[in-house]
Amino acid sequence: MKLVKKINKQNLPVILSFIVLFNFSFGAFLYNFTHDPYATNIIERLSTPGGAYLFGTDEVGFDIFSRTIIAGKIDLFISLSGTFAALIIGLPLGLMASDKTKNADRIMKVLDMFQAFPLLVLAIVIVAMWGNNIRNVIFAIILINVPRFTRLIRSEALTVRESRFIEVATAMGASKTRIISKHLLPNILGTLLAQASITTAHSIVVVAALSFIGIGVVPPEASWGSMIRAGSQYMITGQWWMSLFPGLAIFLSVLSFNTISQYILRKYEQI
Amino acid sequence: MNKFDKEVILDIRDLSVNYNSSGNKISAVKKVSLSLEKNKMLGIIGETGSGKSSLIRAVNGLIKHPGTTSFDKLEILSKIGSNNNFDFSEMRGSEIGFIPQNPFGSLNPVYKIKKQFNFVNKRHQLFGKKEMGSEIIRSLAEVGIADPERVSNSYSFELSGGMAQRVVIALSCFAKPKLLFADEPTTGLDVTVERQLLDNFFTLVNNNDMTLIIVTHDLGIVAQYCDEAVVMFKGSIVERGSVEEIFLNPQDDYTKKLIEASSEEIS
Repeated sequence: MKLVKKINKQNLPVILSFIVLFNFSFGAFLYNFTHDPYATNIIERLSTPGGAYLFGTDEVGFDIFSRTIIAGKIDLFISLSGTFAALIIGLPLGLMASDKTKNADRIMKVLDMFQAFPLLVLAIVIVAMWGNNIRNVIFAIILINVPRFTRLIRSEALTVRESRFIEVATAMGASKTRIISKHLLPNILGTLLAQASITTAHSIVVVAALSFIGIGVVPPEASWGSMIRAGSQYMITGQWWMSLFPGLAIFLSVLSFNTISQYILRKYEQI
Repeated sequence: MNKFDKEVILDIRDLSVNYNSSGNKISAVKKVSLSLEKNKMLGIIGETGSGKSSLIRAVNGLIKHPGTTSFDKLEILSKIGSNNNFDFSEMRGSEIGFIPQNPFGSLNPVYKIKKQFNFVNKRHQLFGKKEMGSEIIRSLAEVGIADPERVSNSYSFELSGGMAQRVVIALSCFAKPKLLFADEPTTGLDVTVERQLLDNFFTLVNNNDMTLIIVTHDLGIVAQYCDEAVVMFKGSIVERGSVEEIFLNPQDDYTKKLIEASSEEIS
């Protein structure tokens, strides 16, 4: 088996990470759940894990296992698409802002203005103004993260721009666009990937926080945030499984994003 | 020094470099005029902060905002610019070369050395893909690298300081510039490595019919390798002449002091 042979110590964690993320992203289509994630069973509410219900049930009798799996589909989609879009917008803005011109100062001023708002409140305002749907949650995540990316890319680009090798490349005749694509970007890519991973993780938390107060993903649609919150009220009476499993799901997906990002970084440095 | 007899490769008239930092204007180079004939080696000496690095950066068009460069006339290899305008884009790399100090910072850390040679090749279309491998090895060996094969497959941070500086020299000379500027190329190297490197470097310059301007505060280098010398002090040229004139019969007070201070080094 060619594929099995390619697995080694270095890429095993990455393969596992992809399996985890693949599970959460496409779990809704992959599995034939024994319990319908959208069906409540009030008689068997708060049943312990391990029995008929693998991860137990919650206070209205939803099956935690199937809901933990299918929640990933929507949570990961929101976090990833929001982060990706923020990166696409933030990258050119950050590069522009790193050029020492008047426009650069203007970009930074606008960003300062944005960052003066408490971001979570800003997200709530957006959803309140334009309606409670997933598209607006994504929009809120973009709005939260664009200033972060722009700021990070700017500060990174500023340091790299001062590097001697940029000067040498200029002295060797490299054009401005070439310097940006071949010298500037590769040198900030590492930080960029790390930040993208952290941002995705952070976005998962933001989505959870929003669904905690009933914004974005609302029941009966499943999301990790709302599941943890529902479980938090039962923690003290000993029903730990309601929060633990969606919590583990968040932990695993964040870990997976970090592992993948680190692997890309390492691969990248080998070129 | 008749301008019409010999080929003048560099002619600068009234070049100034100013740095504006938060309202303070600092004049690093004050109305310097300088000309140089082909195949001469010119050493620019002076203390730290005398404007020697700023001068050759300006001649390479490398002064960045908030620094400004102004000149009446700048002629490099018969290309003439005036009124503070000079288009460097076509000359860089193939006509004029620049070797900075700090070799580690001068190499992009994300690429292997051979890849950086390929960048230069791509820009200047020097060799075909098949020849490139052997050309890189050849040019690395030319600057005195003992195992060019390994070095070409390394990243800059895997090299020693002397190695990295040799690589930078090889890289800067790869497109065979006719006029080469070196800004203290041996800073941070010990004396034995410095001498070997300079021997390799000046052989390379001679073999390839280059004209060299080297900035240094090591008068020994100038005395040993250069034809002519320029002494800079506080942004101005205080004395200019052949190496013999400068070292054996200095006219300016500052030059006298400078040579006195480092007389042990020269002898």
